[in-house]
Order: sequence, then structure tokens, then C-alpha cells
Amino acid sequence: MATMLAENPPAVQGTAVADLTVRRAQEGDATAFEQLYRDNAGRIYALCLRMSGDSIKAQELTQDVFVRAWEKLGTFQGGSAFSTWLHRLAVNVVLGDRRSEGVRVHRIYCTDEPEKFDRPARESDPGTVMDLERAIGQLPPGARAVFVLHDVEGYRHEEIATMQGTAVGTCKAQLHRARRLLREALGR
Amino acid sequence: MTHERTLELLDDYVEGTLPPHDERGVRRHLMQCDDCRAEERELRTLLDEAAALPPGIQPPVELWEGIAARLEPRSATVALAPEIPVIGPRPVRRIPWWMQAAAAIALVVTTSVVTLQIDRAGPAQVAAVQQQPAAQQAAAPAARTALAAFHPAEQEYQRAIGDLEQMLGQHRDKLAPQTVATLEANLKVIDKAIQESRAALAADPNSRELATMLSQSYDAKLDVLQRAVSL
Amino acid sequence: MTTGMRMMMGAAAAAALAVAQPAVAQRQVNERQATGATGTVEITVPAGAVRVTGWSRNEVQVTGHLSRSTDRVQISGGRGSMEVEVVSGSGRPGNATLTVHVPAGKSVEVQTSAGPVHVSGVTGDVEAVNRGGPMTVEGSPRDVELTSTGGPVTVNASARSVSVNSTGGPVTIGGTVRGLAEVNAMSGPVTVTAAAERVEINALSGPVRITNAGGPVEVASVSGPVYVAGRRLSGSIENVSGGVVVEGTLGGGLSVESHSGDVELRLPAGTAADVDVTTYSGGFRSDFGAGRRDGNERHLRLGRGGMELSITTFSGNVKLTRR
Repeated sequence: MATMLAENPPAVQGTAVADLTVRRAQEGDATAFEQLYRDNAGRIYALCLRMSGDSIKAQELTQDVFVRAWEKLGTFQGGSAFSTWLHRLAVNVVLGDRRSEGVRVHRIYCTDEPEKFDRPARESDPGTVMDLERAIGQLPPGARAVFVLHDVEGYRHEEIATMQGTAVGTCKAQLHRARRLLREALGR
Repeated sequence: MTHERTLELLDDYVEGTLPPHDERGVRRHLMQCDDCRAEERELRTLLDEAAALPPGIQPPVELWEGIAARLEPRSATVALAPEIPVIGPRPVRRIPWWMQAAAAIALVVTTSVVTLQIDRAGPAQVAAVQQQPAAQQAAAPAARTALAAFHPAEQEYQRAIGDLEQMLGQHRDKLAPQTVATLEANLKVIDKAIQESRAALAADPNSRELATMLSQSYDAKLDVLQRAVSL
Repeated sequence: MTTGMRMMMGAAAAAALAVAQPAVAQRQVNERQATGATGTVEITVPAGAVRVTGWSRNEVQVTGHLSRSTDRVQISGGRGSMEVEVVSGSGRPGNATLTVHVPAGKSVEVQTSAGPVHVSGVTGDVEAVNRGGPMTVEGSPRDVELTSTGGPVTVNASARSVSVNSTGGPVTIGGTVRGLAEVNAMSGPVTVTAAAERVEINALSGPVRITNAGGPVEVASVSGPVYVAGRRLSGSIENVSGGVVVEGTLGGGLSVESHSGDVELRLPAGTAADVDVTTYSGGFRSDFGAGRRDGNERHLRLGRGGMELSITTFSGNVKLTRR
């Protein structure tokens, strides 16, 4: 039953050590901030990659996210886990980027060298995973963003609508479309 | 509920966000419609796969240098009082009662190994459809009785009911005594209806109407329990 | 001097007066603050009676009395959102009896744990949560949402939608509901006399009575009897033991189910429908002929047929009556 319920962005860490690291970074310690980058880069890059559908773009976005995080670190009050705060900030950076670019030329991130993506090993069938990742990458941008935020990351429609500045109904319609397109792409 | 309407509501159904009567309508339609059930199963498979994607993917190249080059040096912009916990314990996501309830109810149709197929147009005949988890659908128009065909569905109902009753048990001391009394009185009424329909079906094991009535009584019980745990 | 300034001075004077008063057991309240014509006013009263009335002035005025001298009314916010709250200098605030005047176009959110709530003359949304004591809404609000854990709930209004959640006490909805009238109730009777476009009722043991439905109706109850009357009826009505009576014209497919309760449909002579009646051990009586029997099922064509009407009972009697 528990597997049905997507976890909200799970915290990568939650220890007193992380607590100290964040505080040191807030005080201007770049080495501490690098540690925060190491701890969170995978999760942020995965989000950027799935939201943008483009590896190069995702690398740029990941860098933008951490630069923004450094600038805004002073506003983090510890009300939530740092990783949750960072994740939310990343979503805003990615969505903001999409808005500023308007309709972007869609590059398919999956080239003929899939091994380049250096994906961590997975227990379940890697073929299926790759197929789903690839199919997500080929969705139209709006539908893709909603699918990633809702079905992969576990945000609620209300939260996504607020972040995107759209209506909940629009968000639901996009999700419906994304799911339909994915199933078509996966041949189901 | 119609086929089209069920498909429209399916997204909300699998998330457990439908109002009770729509939820019930979809559930009933799913019990009877192979196409919609296949649709639901595929949707859930997709959602399971999406939720199981790895949360992290390491960037293919080192990005830190590029980030470090862009960081403006700064001293502490905020002086946090030491007693403010910067990171608290990881908040445990509380699953609301109604959602657990929805999940329990979803068991009835999703994990059903055998579903009851009632041919509405044809003569009183019930076919049992064995479904392996991977959805190979070997329709076996076996000459099984309605009672026999209903048996697996009944087990699913009972499992969902058991889950909900357990949830209710944990939470009932928070309810007003009068509310508990009302709930119990009404659950008794439904249990009586279940017993009656069940006895009648045992006596007349080929009656698809009775199998449907029994399933409606179980639905009523699920509805009441679901409401009770969401109080 | 602008009106706004005058009001602010008025409020200051009122506050000063209140402070100057000796600490008596009861404390009079008379405060006001200018605000915009729309937006939301949140009113939080830990215990006591709240009467909210819409008026044509763009100000919020709070009058009444507080039972403890250490309590006071705090008004905060600006043109859009406003908050009116009873706060205490020490501990939990005592009882309050307040009348709050708000600009008619505002939406109102009231929270109280005991004591009556009355809202009238507001054209915005009305949302109220009450842990005890009656709630009444009148006038022409937009969307009404009331949650009560005890005490009667009465809406007598011309609203766009009404939604009531109650775990005890009767629920009554009168007037006009242009959209959905929705009630979730545990034990009290539910009565909807409002002309309602759509009605959805979920009840357990209280009788359900809908007298003026104008379209789709969804009713689920367990042991309470259900009565539904109206025009262009469609949808579904279910209960286990209480019995169902439906009276009026059909507008679409309708299904009625009861396990052991009797089901009666009172239909006009000109009704055109295809009726399926299924009963295991219940009797059947019809003013429209006996139809064709097929095991436990019976099929009747009323007039030229068309709309699908299905009636299912286990042991309840089924009766089709011509009005």
C-alpha cells in the first residue's frame, strides 16, 4: 500500500552533520557548500534532466540551481530539510528557464551513446527504465514538466499549479495527456 | 457509470481523490468492464514505474568547477541564532486516513487475481476470468457458478474491509461515542444485508443478480468504513 | 480629513476607551477598520456566538462583548484579507458574543468551537467550521461550505453551491442552489427543499428528504428512508434498509437500489422509459402493467421507452405508481 504513495522529495540527509554543513555554507564557507553540492547533485541533475529532456541543458540548469542556492542560502530557515528546500528551488529555476525561453527547440537528450549518461545501476530491468526515461524526454515540455513533478517527484497538483502559475485543471489535463502519450510511446 | 465517464475519472480514481459516489461508480464499472480494467492496470503500471525511477542521476561531467567559478564570495548574510535548528528531523509524510482508505479499496480491483465478469446481455451465466499479474487474459467461459466466481472477489472485499477496520480501530477513540454508536448500528444493518445476500446466493449459486447484490452490500460497507476512517 | 483617516482615529479612540475601562467581568467591544469591498474576512472566535452581517460600507465593524476582561478583539489586515480574532492576554480566551459587519462583497471564513454562528447578507463565499452549536446562513452567498460536529445546520439562501459536512444534528437546505447542493451527514436528518440543479447526499441513518431537485441526484444512505421529488430526475439512489420513494419526472437514467427497504416510484402518466426491476424476494406492484418476466428480472416499457430506469432490491417490495 505504501508503494502507491509517492514520497514527497525525500531528504537525502537529515543528520546533525548536514545541519552543521548548511550553517557553515550560510556563513560563506565554499568548501561546505561543495559538500552540499556533492550530496545533492544527483537528485538535482535527475530533476533537471527529466524536466528539460536534454543532457546539456540539464548540466547548465544544475549549475544555475546551485549558484542560485548559494545566493539564496541566507533565506533558508531550516523549516524544512535542506534537500527539500533545494529541490523546490530547482523546480522554480527550471520552470523559470522554460518560461524565459518560450518555446524552445526540443533536443532529445538520448543520443546514440546512452552509456554516456552514467546512470547508477538499478535492480529492476534497465531496459524498461531506459524506455520510460527516453519516453519522458520526448514528451512536449508542458506535459513533461507536470508528469515529472507529479508522478516522479510526488508533488501535488495544487503545488504544481502554484509553482507554474496555472490552474489546477490545466495541470490535470497536462498530466492526463502526458500519461497517454507515454503509454503510446511505450507501446501499451 | 458509463465507459467514457470512467475513463475521464480514472486519473483521479487511482489517486484516490474522487468524491465517494464517483469513486463507487468507477469501482463498479471496473468490476464489470475488461477494457477499463486493463486501462486502469496499465495506468497503475506506468505510475509504479515512474515512482520507481532512480531519484538521483550523477551528472555525466564534473559541474562543480563551473559552479565554484560563479560563486560570489560573501560572509554570512544571516546570523542564525544557534538554537534554531537548521535542519530538523526529516519530516515523516503523514498519510491521511482517506488516502489509506482509498488505497485499501483500490486493492479490491487492482490486485484482483480473479474478477467477476457478468455478461449483462446474455443469459444468467457467469464466467470467471483468471488474470495472471502480467495481464494475460485467458477468458475461460467455464461453467462455474456465480458463487464460485464471486469467491475471489469476496476475499478481496474482505481484505479491504479488514484493512479499513484496523485503521478504524486505531482511530476510534478519537470519535464521539454517539458517532461510534451510529457507525456500529449501520454497519450491523449492512452486515445483515451481506449475510442475507450471501445465504441466498449459496442457495441459488447460479444467480448473477444475487452476486451483484452481494457485491453492492460489500460496496456499502466499504463506503461506510471509508467515511468512518476519514472522520 | 479622509474617511479612512477618520475611521482609523475612530478605531484608535475605541481602543483607548476599551483600555481605559476598569476591569469588569464583561468587556464591551466596539471596533472598526476600513477595508476593500472584496477579499476575505477570517473570523476566529475560540468560543461563543458570532453573527456576521454584510453591509454596504467598506469597513469591518465588530461589536458585542467578551466574558473576560483580559480578552480583546484583534483586527488585522488591509484592503483584501482581514482577520478578526479574539485573543487573550493570558491563557485561552473566554466566551465572546460578537456581531461582525463586513462589506457585503467579502468572503467570510468563521471558526468557532462552540456557540451559534449566523451569517447573512454576504455575497462572497461563506465558509464556517463549528464544533458545536447551530449554524445558519441566509442571503445570496456564492459558495457555501459548512462543517459541523454537532448542532443543526440551516442554509436558507440563493447560493451558487452549498456543501455541508455534519457528524450530528439535522441539516436543512432551502432557497435556491444554482449548482451543487452536497451534504455528508452521519446521523441527523437531511432535508433539501431548495430548488437545486444537482444534489448529492451521503448519509447513514438520518432520513433524507429532497423535495425540489431539478436534475441529477446522487443519494447513498444506509438505514434512513429516502424521499426524492423533483423534475428531470436522474442519477442514483441507494440505501440498505430504509426504503426509497421517488416522485416526479425523469430527465435521464436513474437507478434505485435498496436491500430490504421498499422502493416506490411515483411517475406521471406520460413517462417514457425502459424499466428493469430486479428483486430476489420482494413483491412487485405496478400501475403500468406487469411487463415481461425473466427469472428475478422484469422488463417494462413505459410509453415509447427511452430513459433507463433500474430498480433493484433483495427483499424490499417494488411499486410503480401512476400519479
